[in-house]
Amino acid sequence: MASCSEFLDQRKAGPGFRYKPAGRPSLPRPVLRTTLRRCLLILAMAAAAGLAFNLAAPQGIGWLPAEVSRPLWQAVGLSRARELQKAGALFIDARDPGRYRAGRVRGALSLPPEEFGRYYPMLRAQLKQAATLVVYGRSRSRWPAAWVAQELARRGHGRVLVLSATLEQWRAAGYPFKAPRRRRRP
Amino acid sequence: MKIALQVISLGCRLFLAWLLIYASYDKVWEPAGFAASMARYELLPLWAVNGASVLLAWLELLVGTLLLVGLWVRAAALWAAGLMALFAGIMIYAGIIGAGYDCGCFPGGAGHTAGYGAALRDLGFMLPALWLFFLPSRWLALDGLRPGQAARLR
Repeated sequence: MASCSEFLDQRKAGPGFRYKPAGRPSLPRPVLRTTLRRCLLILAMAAAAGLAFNLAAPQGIGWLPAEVSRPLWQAVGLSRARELQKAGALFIDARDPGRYRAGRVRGALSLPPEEFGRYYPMLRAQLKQAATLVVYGRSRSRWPAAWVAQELARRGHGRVLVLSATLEQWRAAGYPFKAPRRRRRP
Repeated sequence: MKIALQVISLGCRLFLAWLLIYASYDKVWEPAGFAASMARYELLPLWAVNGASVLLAWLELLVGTLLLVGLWVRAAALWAAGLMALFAGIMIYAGIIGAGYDCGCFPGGAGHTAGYGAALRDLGFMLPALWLFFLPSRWLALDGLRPGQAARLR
């Protein structure tokens, strides 16, 4: 009702009026326009500063991570990965240890990027024995699988592949999957 | 009353400036580490991670610096609110997927796990940014030194 009376009051101002609801915080249009222009300027300045710093500083990073721009691994599809598993390929789970415990490709070893420095020395001998390594992650974004695959290939492990499907697709295809054990209730 | 509002605005501005500069200096100085933190969420394709992480880190630093010196406060506050909304969204996503790792928000990373708690914290940080957007402080601010600008901010 209040907005109705406001509308009628404002209408009395004459033809060409524009209804403006009262009681709502609003900023004048020129202020908003200036603010938005400045927001764009801030974005451009941040992009320029980031680009300049990363080009000049020794710790700067490139446009693409090395595992994308200079990949030492190859992608492998679901059915081909299964064939390789039958032929003796070793699977590496690059996800968090918690997710690994919650379900994984049967026979896969856990090697997440965060624990790479700690786990790798323990697994090195086992990894060296496998002719083919297939690394998988959580999603199709290929991180952390691509990162782990790059590190393994850099360390001289023969053939390193990254699974281009998700673990859910692997499981749905009916391929060997290790689910967590259910605890029996006493 | 006017003085009280100015004091609150000044407090919000300095708090947000400290928060953003503290959160960003490590990300700016060690871009590879922050890019790895961003990649861990698996929200972006790998080719977009480096560019987005560099832009985000410098945006945080620039917005924090502008708030500290009190220049373009309203625009900086709008960016700060936008950044907090973005971070809160990412933290909600982290909560949904059950990520138990460090959120990568602050240097050191101890005690800042990604998830719903961090999302609530980021939404809380949005409040001073929104306050500043509507009531930018003129005290101890470069904006306040320019008479035309001061009139616009009132």
